[in-house]
Amino acid sequence: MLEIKNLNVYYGAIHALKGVNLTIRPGEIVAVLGANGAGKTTLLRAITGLVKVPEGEVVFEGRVLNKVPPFQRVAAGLAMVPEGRGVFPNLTVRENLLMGAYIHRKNAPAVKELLHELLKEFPRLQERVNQKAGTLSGGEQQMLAICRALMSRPRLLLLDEPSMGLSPLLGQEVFKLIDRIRDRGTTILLVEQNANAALRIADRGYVLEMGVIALAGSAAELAASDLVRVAYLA
Amino acid sequence: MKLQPVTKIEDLLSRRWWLLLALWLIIPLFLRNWAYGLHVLIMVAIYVLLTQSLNLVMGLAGQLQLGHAAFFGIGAYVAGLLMLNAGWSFWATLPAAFFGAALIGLLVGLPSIRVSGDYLGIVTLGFGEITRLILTNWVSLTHGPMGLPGIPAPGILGYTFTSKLPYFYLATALALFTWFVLSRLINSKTGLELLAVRADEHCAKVLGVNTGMVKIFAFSTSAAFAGLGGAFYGSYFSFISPDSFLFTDSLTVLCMLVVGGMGNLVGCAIGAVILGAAPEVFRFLGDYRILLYGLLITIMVIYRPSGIWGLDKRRRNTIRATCARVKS
Repeated sequence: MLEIKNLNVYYGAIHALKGVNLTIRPGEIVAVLGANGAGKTTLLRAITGLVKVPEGEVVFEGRVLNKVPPFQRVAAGLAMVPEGRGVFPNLTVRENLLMGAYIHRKNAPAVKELLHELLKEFPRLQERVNQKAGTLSGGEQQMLAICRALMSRPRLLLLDEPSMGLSPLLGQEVFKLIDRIRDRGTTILLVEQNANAALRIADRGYVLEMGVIALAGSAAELAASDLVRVAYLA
Repeated sequence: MKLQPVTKIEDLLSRRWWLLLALWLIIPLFLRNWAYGLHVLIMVAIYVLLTQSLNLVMGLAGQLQLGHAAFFGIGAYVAGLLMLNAGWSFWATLPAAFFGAALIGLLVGLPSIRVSGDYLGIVTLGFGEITRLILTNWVSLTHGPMGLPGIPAPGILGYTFTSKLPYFYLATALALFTWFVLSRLINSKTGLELLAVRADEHCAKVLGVNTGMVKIFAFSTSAAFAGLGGAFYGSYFSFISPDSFLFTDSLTVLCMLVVGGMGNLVGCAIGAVILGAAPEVFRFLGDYRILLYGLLITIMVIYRPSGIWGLDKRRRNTIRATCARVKS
């Protein structure tokens, strides 16, 4: 579904991603693990088009995305939940969700139905639908950010550290939600520092270290590997 | 999911606004012989228009615009030159000034795709200076520092504006037109796009918003309304020169926006009324009023950075939130 070939990204003189190869098949949850500064967020930015890719290819469903501007990649079927949630604090919950369905803005009835469906599934957001997003708790904001991304009906959902800044309990809830989203047919790329929780729901995983894929394999293999155990699970 | 309308609160709000508007329209009838008072009111109306148009690009799209007065000037010069050289009527120059300023605004918006924050501030500041220099040095067209004297007054059906009263109503009409169009715009999907770009541009992009286009649209529309105000200004004073549209004028409007409240049209109007009228009301203090002015802005920035009536008072939120509370 998504194929990344020999991806290189630079920030000035810094070589942030050095020849990364990565494949995601439909229906999978793929985890990308790594410490701070390993290049996880950069990888997501390259997929969504927020950074330029001078070398390598990002291929989504057979289409090379390198030259496609970010706002058109959403229409291709990609959605991202940015790091630190990134909800719009001054907009209400409903307005945030409507912004998520931005690419479907010409089809108001469908958006309305989608909104209705989503709110039924998340009663906590329904209760706060007219409240400003900035007044929600951290967990609710994360849920809103994920729902907002779902409003574009993506086939591939990119999540950047969804458990960051949440209590372990809330974090677990978010991971359960991610599993549920996959069951409904959305493929997921999950970038996480919390290797333990991520590998529990993931099918396969990659370990990024200093911009290089240090390890790749099934979730079970990664959880058992020395590298991951020593670095992230100890 | 239906919200119960809270008729009382909404009615009260809207009734109060209509009352204020009626007051604004009636008071000048009693000031007919006090030209100075009328002049202050006319300038306040123009400041409302300028602050609200600046609000579109700064308060909503969140782009630092330090050259707003230049668009005001461009509108004034476009209208003035068309009237003096081509013999257009005032009414025909209004759309010309509107679209002329919009076109220049579009060009100034282009750098905003690549430049943001303080750097964009420098770009727009530079644009304001360039405009002033062009107006000063393109002598064959603009008469340079001598300015354009004798811009004709507007007229309707053979009646030419002579007293200040018709000017007052014209300025009010232009300000209300701006207010109406901008409020429709802000409460539409475009408003959400703009606020999304302001809150987090990357995030907006990832949701599919063509942020570059949104920003250019904001710059251009904001400039267009400033140009409209400029066309009026030239006709009202019947004389314009490059000195009428300086960086300090951009700053004055910016202060009104900051004090009144970024992102809120009502806040803009409040800021324009307070800072537009204050220097005149406190004229007896002489030069000390500039000090007072500075003090006011300092206090505002420290204690109420969102302004008197800012984005946190967005009507859409407050009223619907009230509805939700009453329902539960």
